[in-house]
Amino acid sequence: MTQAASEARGDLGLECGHGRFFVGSRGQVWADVALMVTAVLVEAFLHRALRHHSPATAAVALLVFAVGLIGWLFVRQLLRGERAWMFYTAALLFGSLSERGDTLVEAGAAPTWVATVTVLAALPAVVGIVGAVRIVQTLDEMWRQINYRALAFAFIGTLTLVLGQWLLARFGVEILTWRSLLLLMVVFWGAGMLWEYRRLK
Amino acid sequence: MTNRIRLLRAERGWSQADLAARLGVSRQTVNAIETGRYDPSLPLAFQIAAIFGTAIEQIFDPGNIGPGSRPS
Repeated sequence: MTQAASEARGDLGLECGHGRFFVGSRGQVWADVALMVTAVLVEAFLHRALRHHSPATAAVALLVFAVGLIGWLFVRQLLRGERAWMFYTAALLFGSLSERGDTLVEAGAAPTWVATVTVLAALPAVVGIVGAVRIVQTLDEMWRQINYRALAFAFIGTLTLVLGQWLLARFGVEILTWRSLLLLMVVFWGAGMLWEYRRLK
Repeated sequence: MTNRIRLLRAERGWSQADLAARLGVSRQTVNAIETGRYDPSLPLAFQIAAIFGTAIEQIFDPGNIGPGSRPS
C-alpha cells in the first residue's frame, strides 16, 4: 500500500520522521471512537446500577457493551487487516473492564456479574494477544526484527520492575499493581520499537 | 556492508517506494538497506539481485570479511 493511495482513501496515520505509522481507515477509527463512547456510557450505567442495586440496569449496560464490542471487532477485522491500533485499543479495553471487575467484587456484586465482566474482559485480552502476534507476522523482516528486539526490551524491563517491586514489597511498599505492570510492558514495547526504529532510520 | 542499490535504482528511475513494492517490504526497509544501516536476510538479498537482474556480489560488498572476522 503506497502512502498516496492510503491518503487518497482517507486513511489516518501519524507522520514520524520519514515513516508513517498506519492508524486505520476512517471507518475503523470511527468504530474505535464509538466503542470508547459506549465504554464510558456503560461505566456510568454500571456505577449507577451498583449504587441503586439494580441488576436490570447493569444487565442492559453489559449487553450494550457486548453488542458494541462485537460490532467493533467486526468493523476492525473485516475492513482491513491493520492491527496495531486494534492492539492498543484492546489493551485499553482489557484494563478498563478488569477495573470494572474489581469494582464489582469490592461492591459485593453477585458472582454472575463478576463472571460476566471477567468474560467480557477476557475477550479484548485474547483479541490483543492474537492481534500482537499477527502484527509481528505480517511485518517485513526489518520491522519484525525491530519488534522482536522491542519485545525483548519489554520483557527485560518488566522483569526488572517485578524484581524491584518484589524487593520493595519486603519493606511493605506496594507501588505497582499487576495491571500497571501489563501497561508498562506495552509502553516498554512501544519505547523499544521507537528506539530501534531511530537506530535504523 | 555497502551496496549499489541506490545507483541501480536510479538507473531504472525507481523510487524507494517502487522498489519496496516490488520486494514486498516497507519503504523504510529499502531506505535502511540502501544506507547500510540494515543488512537484508539472504532470501531478501537474492530477491533484490533477481529484481535488478544481476548477481548478489555485484550489488553487495561485504567489506573486509575474512576467516574469523565478524561482519559489521
